[in-house]
Amino acid sequence: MIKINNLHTVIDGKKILKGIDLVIKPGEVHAIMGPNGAGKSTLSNVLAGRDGYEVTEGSVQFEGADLLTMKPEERAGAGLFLAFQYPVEIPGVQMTQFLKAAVNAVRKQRGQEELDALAFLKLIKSKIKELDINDEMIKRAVNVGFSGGEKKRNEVLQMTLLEPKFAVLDETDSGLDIDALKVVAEGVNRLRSPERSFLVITHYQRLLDYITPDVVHILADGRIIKTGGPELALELEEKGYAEFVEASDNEEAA
Amino acid sequence: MEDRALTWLDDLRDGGDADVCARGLPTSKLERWKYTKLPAWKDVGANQKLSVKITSENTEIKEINQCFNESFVAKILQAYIPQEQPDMMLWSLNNTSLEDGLFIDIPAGMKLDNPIELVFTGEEGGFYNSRIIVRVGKGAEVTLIERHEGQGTYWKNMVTQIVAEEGAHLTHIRMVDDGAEATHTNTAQISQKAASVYKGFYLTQNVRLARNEIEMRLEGEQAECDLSGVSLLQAQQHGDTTITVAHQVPHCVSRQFFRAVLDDQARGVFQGKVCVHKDAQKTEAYQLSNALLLSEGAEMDTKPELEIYADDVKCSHGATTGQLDDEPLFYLRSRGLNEEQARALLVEAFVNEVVDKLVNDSVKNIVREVLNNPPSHLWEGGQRGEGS
Ligand SMILES: Nc1ncnc2c1ncn2[C@@H]1O[C@H](COP(=O)(O)OP(=O)(O)O)[C@@H](O)[C@H]1O
Ligand SMILES: [Mg+2]
Repeated sequence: MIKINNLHTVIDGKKILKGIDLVIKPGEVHAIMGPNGAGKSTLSNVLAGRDGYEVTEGSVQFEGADLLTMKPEERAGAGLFLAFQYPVEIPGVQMTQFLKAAVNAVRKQRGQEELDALAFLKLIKSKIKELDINDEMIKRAVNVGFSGGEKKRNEVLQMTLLEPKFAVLDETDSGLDIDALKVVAEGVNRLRSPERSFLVITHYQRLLDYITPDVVHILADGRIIKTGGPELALELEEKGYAEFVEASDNEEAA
Repeated sequence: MEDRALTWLDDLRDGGDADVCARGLPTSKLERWKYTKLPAWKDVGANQKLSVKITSENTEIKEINQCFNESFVAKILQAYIPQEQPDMMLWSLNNTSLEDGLFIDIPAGMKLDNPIELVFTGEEGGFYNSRIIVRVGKGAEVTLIERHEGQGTYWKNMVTQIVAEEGAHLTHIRMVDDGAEATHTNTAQISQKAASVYKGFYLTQNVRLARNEIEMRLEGEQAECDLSGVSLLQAQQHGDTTITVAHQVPHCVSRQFFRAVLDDQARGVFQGKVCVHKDAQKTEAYQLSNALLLSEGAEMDTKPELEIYADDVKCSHGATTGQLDDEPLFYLRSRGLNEEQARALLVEAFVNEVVDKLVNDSVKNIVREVLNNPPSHLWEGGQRGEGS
């Protein structure tokens, strides 16, 4: 699905990612955990194609294509989805208008017929029900006046509607109470399939109680310092980041 | 037309003539005309009647030259002496040939369900000096939709005088959509009596040069006015909104909310002045102007002014000029919209935030129909920004 090879990035002259290697196969769920400032959001943004990140070394293959030369909208069309850590408020753009434009934009890119107003309405009705989103929320402007939980649910709604092949969830769990967390996790689990992969970025182990990952990576200071199975998340929760970071520093020094 | 010679009318016209001869047209030397230069107009003598299509129910709308004998009309026409003002030459110009225009008189207590619609059409070579006088009687409620269109190069020099009597409600939609070669100037004076409500929405698009100058007088307590508008300009188009709100008495509220979307070498001007007189305690006055520049050549000049002589007031003003934000653009593109679509959607949203404030849905729809939003050239031109 996706193959990240020795990825280095620089923002404003500052090195952030310092050689990321990561291979995610179809159907796999990988988790990335790491302290604040480790570079988790930087990695998601580089994958989604945000401006301002300079890739100085390395490559990213997405289904065999060179991801880094694609425009953000082409990445979406090809099946990449990023659930933002901080979803953007867009005053004046109504949710339904936005969601319909997005669904039809990716459908068009994928050679599928665009949905008319009625078909779209039917689709959205069924999806918001699954995600326990109330009607009133989709009548508002995109993310404007949404609570933290509503914003995250909205990200999952978009993911559900856009049917990506590969979804990156950047701290979709932060700021959620346990009920909202379950709804989000169920949303992800419902989409899990042998053809679809996920990269779940989180600060806490909590989310991984509900979304069981195949592989867990620990990211610190722009590098993956440890990779393991789901048990790594528990170990991390117990010992804290500091111990892992120290251990890896020692290895390096040795 | 007039049976008897009306000396006051002759005096008014002669006064206008004399003023135009003496002072000419406004130039950038005048403070309130600093940013707007009228195109040269050689033949200001030849004056045509401006064609208008009227749709109204239960209201008789009269030609103004049939009303010179009515005391209200005679009085309001004489009430303002433009030659005594430092910069009111366009009003004088309108006086020189005072003959064309409409008088809309809504009797006290009348509530009209359907809007009155006026469509004014200019023609190639036309020069129009038209006067609109509106009186909304005590407690009356009406929506007036004024649409300006036309073909070719012409100049509409309008003067609008509105009186909202006690408790009257007037919603006034004024859409300037005259055509890429047309010049449109409007000088408006609006008087609001106690507890009256005026809601004005002004659209400026598809015009070579437009100046909309409004003097709002809040003369009776508890009066409320909402002035809002949108300018959508491209090429070398120029749109000027110049407003003075005079809070003359206590307990009135005024709000101004204007947005401009400027592309190519278009230029927008917003001059908004709020004067709160000494006795006008408990005044609330708000003003906001936002401009969105879509190209490097576009320019916005904004001049907010507050003159406050009362101490117990709530006033605020804000002005921004900027480009589309990167964050929402990226958010939309990450959902599959291409750059043009994303930009168009954001421009539309920027404008919608003003239109959405109009309370009445049917009025909103009428505005949306005329509104060139998102500007079509955003889609056609394509090659903007780094994309495509
Ligand atoms: N736009 C930016 N400009 C400058 N520095 C940035 C920018 N974005 C992130 N950084 C820096 O990059 C580092 C990694 O940030 P980020 O990827 O957001 O970390 P995480 O998501 O793991 O908390 C931090 O030191 C942060 O300050
Ligand atoms: Mg982050």
